[in-house]
Amino acid sequence: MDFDSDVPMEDAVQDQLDPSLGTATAFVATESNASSNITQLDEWIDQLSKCQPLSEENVKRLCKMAIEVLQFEENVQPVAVPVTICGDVHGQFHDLMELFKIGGPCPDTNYLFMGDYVDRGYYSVETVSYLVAMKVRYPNRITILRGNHESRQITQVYGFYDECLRKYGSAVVWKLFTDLFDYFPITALVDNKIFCLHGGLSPMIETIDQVRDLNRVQEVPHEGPMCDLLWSDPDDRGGWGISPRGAGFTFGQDISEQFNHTNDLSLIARAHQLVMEGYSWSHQELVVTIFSAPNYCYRCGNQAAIMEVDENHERQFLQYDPSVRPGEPTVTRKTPDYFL
Amino acid sequence: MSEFQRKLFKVETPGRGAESLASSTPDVAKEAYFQVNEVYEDPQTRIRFQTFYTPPSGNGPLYVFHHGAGSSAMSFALLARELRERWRDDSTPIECGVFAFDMRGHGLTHGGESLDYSLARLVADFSFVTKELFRRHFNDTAHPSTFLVGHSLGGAILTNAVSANRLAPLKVTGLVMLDIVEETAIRSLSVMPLYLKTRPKQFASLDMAIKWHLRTNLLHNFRSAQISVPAILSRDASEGYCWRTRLEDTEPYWSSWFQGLSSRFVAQTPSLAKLLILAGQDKLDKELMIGQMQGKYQLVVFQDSGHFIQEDCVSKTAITLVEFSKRNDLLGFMDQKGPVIKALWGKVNSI
Repeated sequence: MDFDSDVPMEDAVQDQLDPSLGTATAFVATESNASSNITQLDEWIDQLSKCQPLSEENVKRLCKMAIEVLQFEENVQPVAVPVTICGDVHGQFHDLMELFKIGGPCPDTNYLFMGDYVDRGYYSVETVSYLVAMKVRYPNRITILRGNHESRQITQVYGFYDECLRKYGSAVVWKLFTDLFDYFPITALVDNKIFCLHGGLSPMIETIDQVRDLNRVQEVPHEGPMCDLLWSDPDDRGGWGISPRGAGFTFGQDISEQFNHTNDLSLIARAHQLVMEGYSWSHQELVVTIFSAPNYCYRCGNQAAIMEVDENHERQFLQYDPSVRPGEPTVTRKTPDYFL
Repeated sequence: MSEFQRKLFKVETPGRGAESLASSTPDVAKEAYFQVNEVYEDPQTRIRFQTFYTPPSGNGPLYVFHHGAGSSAMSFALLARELRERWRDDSTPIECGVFAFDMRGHGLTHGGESLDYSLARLVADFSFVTKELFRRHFNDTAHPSTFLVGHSLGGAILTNAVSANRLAPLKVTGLVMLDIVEETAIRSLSVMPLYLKTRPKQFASLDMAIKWHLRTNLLHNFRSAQISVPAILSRDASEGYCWRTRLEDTEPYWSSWFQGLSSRFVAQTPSLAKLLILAGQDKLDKELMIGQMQGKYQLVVFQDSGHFIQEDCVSKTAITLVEFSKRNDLLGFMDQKGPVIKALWGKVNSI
C-alpha cells in the first residue's frame, strides 16, 4: 500500500487486513478513497486543533464515517496496553489540548476516554468533533466510550444543544452528534484486566458477558443495566444503594470485590464524579475514579488527571491544572427580577 | 424513552387565554385543595398560623410545603391536588397526604408584634408548625414518611430546619428545593428594592392583579394564578386590593436567608434524599456544582418554567415528586416489600 501521506498509516492498513473487524472501515473502500479520506481527516483535525468548528456539511461527513467505525466496535471494546485512560472533558477544549500535551500526542500514545465530552464547558462542539475525528483517523489508537451526557435528553439541558444552535444556527449538528452517540461503545476491557466505563456497576449485570448481550444502540435509557453502567457511583456503604442522582445505583466494596473476582479483573476504572485531585481510589484500590476537566465548569477549583497503564500494568497518574488561555468567554448571567 | 420521560417531555399548555378572567376567584376551602383548614397558635409568639391539610392513607407519604417570601400556601394548591390524583392513579389503596401553611406575615396567618423575619425565627416557626401537625394528626405508630418541599426562601428554611435537626418527631425522607440557588439569590437581592418600589401598590380588582402577574411573567399559569394571587392580596379602605405582606419589612433579614445554603444542602446526610428543581437553566453555584458532579443530590431543570415552578409546571413537578418519593422511600410504602432495588446479585443495603 502506498498512501500519499507522511503520517504512518498502520491503523487503516491493519483495519483492512483484520477480518475480525469486518467492514469496520468500509468508507476506506479503495486505496485512493482511503487516501483522500485520510487527507480530509487530517485537514479537519488541523482545523479543529485550532478550536475552529467544522462546517455543518463536514460534520455530516465526519459522523457518517464515524458510524462506519463505531458500529462494529463491541459493547465491551477490547483495548491493549499501553494505554492512557481519561475521564470527563465536558467541552473544555483547551484543557483537552493540555491533556494531549501532558499525556503525549495521539497516535503516539494510545488513549481511552470514558465519556462526557459535551455539556457545561463552552467548546463542546469543538471537543467532540476533535475526538470523533481522531477516532476515525486512528481507530485502533483511541477509544471513546459513551458517558451519561452523550444523550439527547441531557444535552438539551446542560448546554450542548444550545451551543450547536449558537454555532450553527440550527439543531442539525446536535442531531448528527446525538444520533452518533448511540453507536459509542459503553465499556472497554484493557488487556482483560481493567474494566473501564463511565459510571459504575449494575445490580442487573454480574458478568462482563452480560454487558456483551445488551443492545446499546439507543438513547441512554432512564433505568436498567445500560443506564446503570453510565450513572452508578461507588460508595462507602456496602451493597447496592439508591443513588442520590436519581439514576443508577451506588455500590459498596463488597460489590466491587465480587465483580472483580467473578470477572478476573484487577481494577474498575471509571469517571463521572468530580474528584478534587483529578483521581481518587475507592474500595481499597479495586475502583479508581478519573476526572479530566480541571477547574470544572470554570469554577470548581479541582485538578484533573489521566492514568497511564504500561505494558506491565504499572499505573501512573498525571495531574494537571487548567490551561492558560486568553479570552475565556465570560458568560454574563442574568439576574432574575424576583427571587424571594 | 420511559413513561416517565415521555411525561416529562410533554409540554404543559399554560392555562392562559381562552378562559375569562372575569370568573370569580375560586374559594379555597370550597374547591377543597386541602380537606382540613386549621389554625395553629404558637403560645410563645402568639402567631396564629393558617394551615391546610389532607391526610395520607394506607401508608402513603406526606408532602409538607413551604412557600417563599411574598407568596402563600395557595401557591401549592394545584400541585397538592395533582399529587393526590397521581397517587390515586396507582391502583393501590395508598394516597399521599399534603400539608401547607401561610408563614408569618403572609396569607391568612395573623398575629405577632413587629415581625422578626430572621432565618432562625422562620426555622423555629416551621419547627412549631410541624410539631403541632404531628401532635394533632399522628402518633408514634401512625407516622408517614415525609417529604419536605420548599420554594425559594421556603427551600432555605427547610434546609436549615433539617440541618439544625429541628423536625423531630417527623420522619423526613426527602428534601426538595424549588428554584433556589444561593449565589443567584444573593446576587438578585441587590435588585429587589427597585423591584419592590416599582411594582404596583394596589390593584383595582383581582382580575387586574392576576393579569399583572401573568403580564410581567411572574406567573405563567392562569389557573394557578387564579388561586395564588388572591391569597396574597387583601381588600383595602379604598375598595382596591393591596399586598398582604409588606416585603419591604423583610429587607433587613435578606442577607441572612441564603448564606451558606448550598453547602448545607449538599452536606445533608446520604440517608436523606435530596432533589433540586430549577427553572429555566442550570445555574448552579460552585458548591452545588461540585455536589451535583459528585452525585450528592438529584438535579432536574424545567426549561419552560418561571420562578414559581410549582405553579407554572404543576404536572411535571407532581410527576417528578412522585417518582422521587417512590425511588427514595425506604419504608417501602409501595408494597411493604422494602426498598425498590431489584438486584440479580450482591446484597442490597438496608440503611
